[in-house]
Amino acid sequence: MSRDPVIWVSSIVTIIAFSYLFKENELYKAVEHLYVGVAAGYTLVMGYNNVVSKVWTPLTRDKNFVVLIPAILGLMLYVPYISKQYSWVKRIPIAAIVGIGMALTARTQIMQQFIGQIKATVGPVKSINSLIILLGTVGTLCYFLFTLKPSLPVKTGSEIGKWTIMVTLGAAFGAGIMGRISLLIDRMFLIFRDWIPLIKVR
Amino acid sequence: MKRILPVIVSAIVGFLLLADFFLDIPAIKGPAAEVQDWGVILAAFALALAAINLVGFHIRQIGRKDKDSIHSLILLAGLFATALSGIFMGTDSPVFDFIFRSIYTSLAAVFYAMTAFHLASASYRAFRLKNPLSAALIVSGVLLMLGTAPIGETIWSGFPVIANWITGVVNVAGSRGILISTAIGSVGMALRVLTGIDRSYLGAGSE
Amino acid sequence: MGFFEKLGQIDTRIIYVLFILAILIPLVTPLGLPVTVSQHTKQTYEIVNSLQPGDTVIIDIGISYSGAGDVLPQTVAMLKHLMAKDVKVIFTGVQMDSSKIIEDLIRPYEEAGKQYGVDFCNLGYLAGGENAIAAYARDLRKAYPLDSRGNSTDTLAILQTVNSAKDANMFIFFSTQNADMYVRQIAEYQVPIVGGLIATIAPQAEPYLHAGQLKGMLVGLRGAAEYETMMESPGIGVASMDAQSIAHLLIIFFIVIANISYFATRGRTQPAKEASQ
Repeated sequence: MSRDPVIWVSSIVTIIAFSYLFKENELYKAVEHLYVGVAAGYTLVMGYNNVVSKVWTPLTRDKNFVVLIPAILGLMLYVPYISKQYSWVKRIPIAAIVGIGMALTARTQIMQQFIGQIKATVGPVKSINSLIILLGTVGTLCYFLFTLKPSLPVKTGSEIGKWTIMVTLGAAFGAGIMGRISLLIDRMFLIFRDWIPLIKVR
Repeated sequence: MKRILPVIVSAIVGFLLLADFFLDIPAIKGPAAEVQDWGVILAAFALALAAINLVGFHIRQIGRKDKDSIHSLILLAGLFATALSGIFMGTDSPVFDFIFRSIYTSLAAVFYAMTAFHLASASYRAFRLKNPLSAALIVSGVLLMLGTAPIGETIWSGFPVIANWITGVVNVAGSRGILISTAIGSVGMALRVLTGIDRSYLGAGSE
Repeated sequence: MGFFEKLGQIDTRIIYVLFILAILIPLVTPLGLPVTVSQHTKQTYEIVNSLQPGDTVIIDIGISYSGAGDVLPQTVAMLKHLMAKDVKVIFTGVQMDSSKIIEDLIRPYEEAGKQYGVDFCNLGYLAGGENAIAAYARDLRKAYPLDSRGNSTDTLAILQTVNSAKDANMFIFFSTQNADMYVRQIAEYQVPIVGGLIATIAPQAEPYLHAGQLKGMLVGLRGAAEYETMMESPGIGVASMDAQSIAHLLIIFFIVIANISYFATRGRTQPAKEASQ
């Protein structure tokens, strides 16, 4: 058996966590809360490291005082903990985060997800598969058209779309199973290779 | 001002970034890059919010002195041990490394791995061929599983071919339709947020 | 309760135990089922193989430990390929776990003589998700004033010639979240993009591969097994395929017996319903 304390603790907490599958118990709840606490603590560490790198370093090393603007905005997020009267101030950095995020995503979505994907769909139909992709894509789009009057072309497209979506969801299910089994295999390696050496693979 | 100022901020930063992308104006490239960087800094500051809320909630929980108080104590012990060791001793320190590797990495993996069991159980309990559409879903899922696992190819060499056709043709069509639809929806949502029509992200009392 | 009814009501705990055994037994006593390489992996291998010694790639480790079991073996296999070809690697990350994962990935190569700051560097985690990708793709040193080891990025030799995505020879990402944000933010830099994805989200990224926005894609643990096969260096991926096979068969078996039970007992419940109406 392994003599590494990390392997021992990891394996034991893993088995306690898996015990939930058979019956919820106090040990499981303790381990669950421990994980949430450690994860939250880790988030604090990462936030601190990022602030040191992105604010403190440019300020002290490069004398870049412009970073004080986002730093002050970032600190405004914590005003509600100090003053209820000025708690509305936290909306300003939230609005900035949302505005930046939305703009960055939207501008590239138009080019890549919208135009890029349409270009790939409406190219010359060279094979039966390209035809299926064209009909399936148009059908899926028809399925999500809830504001158009259901004329015959839209209804036909919608029906094709329904079948396409079902097969897509089936593919997602199959892939999901595959992904999750892989994660379980990884835990088996921890317990039955690293801790109790039943599995010989390295 | 409480309602309009956040909307103005969101509009300024958002339209600046949109203009930077779609228009070729050298004067806005610099400010746009700066604003983009500010987004990263704001995200870094926001990381602590969840932890602070958690601390407040669980301190109150401990104060109640009920049967769940011990769990709250465990949570806070884990939180402070990790945060203090990571910040003051560094993420390379033996203490932080031990906590991180023995608790965080293993439990992060296990909680997601448990969903494999739930999927197995759910596929047994819920997957019935009740109608042609559900049959399409189940059959395509089964064919994909047989096509991607090596044993499927050992049983019949056609399974990987069918699986590749499902993922590379039909799934592409369906996923592409969903991608295009979500792009349209997201762009519409972004414009509503940036123009101030939708202010739900600001929370209650923002209308 | 009849046999067919019992068939549809097996205790969940029995299912769990069978599932564990279906995974454990093939790991302990491997079957040795052959792993054939798919077109996706061949394409990915070939494009990575086209890199020349001295080329620089940016690798984003968008992996969290929750999904690492599925994606990390691919990362290990591809990194082995890149290091064997003397390709330089700039590691970035938009998941909190990125920094630690990258350190674990590069440690063996550093111990083997590769030089940190010259052959690779770990820029670590940058907060902001898609915003972080946009920021570092535009200007690496501005987005990362310090690397994850606390070094000033101005002092790293590898960043003197590559400071944005457009300067790199390739952009590679490994993600447990999604491929969309990488394609969206990196595509404008006209650099080949290759992705390694957790199997759960890979079907959603297929349209990008089909459209040529992604030049290569590895899918889950199977992708790792195939890449290891192409490298002629079997590892965790290949070792896991037998367990994956048997677990898949078990789930298909559960679905089949559940449906046998459903169809066998459906005739008995329907007349009862009609009688009650």
